[in-house]
Amino acid sequence: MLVISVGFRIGFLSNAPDGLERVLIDYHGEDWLDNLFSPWIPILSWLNNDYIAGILGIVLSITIMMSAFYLIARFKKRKVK
Amino acid sequence: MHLPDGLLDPVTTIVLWVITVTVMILGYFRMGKMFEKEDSEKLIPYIGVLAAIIFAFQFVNYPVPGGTSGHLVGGTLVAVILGPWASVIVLFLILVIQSLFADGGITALGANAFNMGIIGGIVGFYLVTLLVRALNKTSLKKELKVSIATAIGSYIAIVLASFICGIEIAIGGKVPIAIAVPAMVFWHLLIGIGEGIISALIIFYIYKAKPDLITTESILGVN
Repeated sequence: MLVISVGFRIGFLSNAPDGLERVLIDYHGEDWLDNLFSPWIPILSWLNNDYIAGILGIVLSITIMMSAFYLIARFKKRKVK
Repeated sequence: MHLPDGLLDPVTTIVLWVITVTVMILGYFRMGKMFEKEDSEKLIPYIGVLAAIIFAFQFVNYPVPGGTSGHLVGGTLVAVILGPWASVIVLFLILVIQSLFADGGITALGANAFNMGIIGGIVGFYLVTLLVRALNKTSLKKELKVSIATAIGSYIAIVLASFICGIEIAIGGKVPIAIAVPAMVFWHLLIGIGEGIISALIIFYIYKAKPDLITTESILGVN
């Protein structure tokens, strides 16, 4: 939890594009990257606050990961029995 | 290295989805004895927290010289803790969550999981294994061997993943291969330094705090 909170607290150290974005922006420009076709509108993309998005993401990560591996553990144990 | 939608061509997208799903199914069967033990459910909260840590660290963009930033991918890190097969499933699920926030595309999920989970996780893990076995010849303590091997293995895996990502972008026709591959590799030679350092520090911390969380010791062959 300490690692998460520290990482989160000092998060967003840089707003610069990451390596992949840098390659695409250098070649095509930022507008091109923002207008790539996507078949859906990400359901949480309306969230503007990075901190709220981060907290929600952490909660979702814990919930979904624990659920998935709980199911995996149950199926595997049932198979062993 | 989160590929957005609209960057890859349909064939590459489908092929990488098929490979990723196949590896995840294989991973379910090959995850081995980890989840067949009576008390295996005790691992599950730790897996949840590990996922949260990876998610949180992927939010932390550290500056890289040249006006770029980088962030932890965590594929090799998860693989060293949970095993190579579990790492693909963990990274895939994290990428699904991130796609909800428009960080990485939904059609590009297969490609992202291939790059970060399979290359970063499985290939990274076996690089770490090779390095651990080389370091076994030294008198370093176990946690140092695994931490150093994780640092180097995750660095190489990230650079390799960026190389492959560059090829994927080029196949999609959006950036010529002569530009995409060198540029991706160049930036990730810098970004990978952070990946290696952060991964090694986390592994070292886990060894100090709760060493039995590292479920792969026997596979890594550390002594």
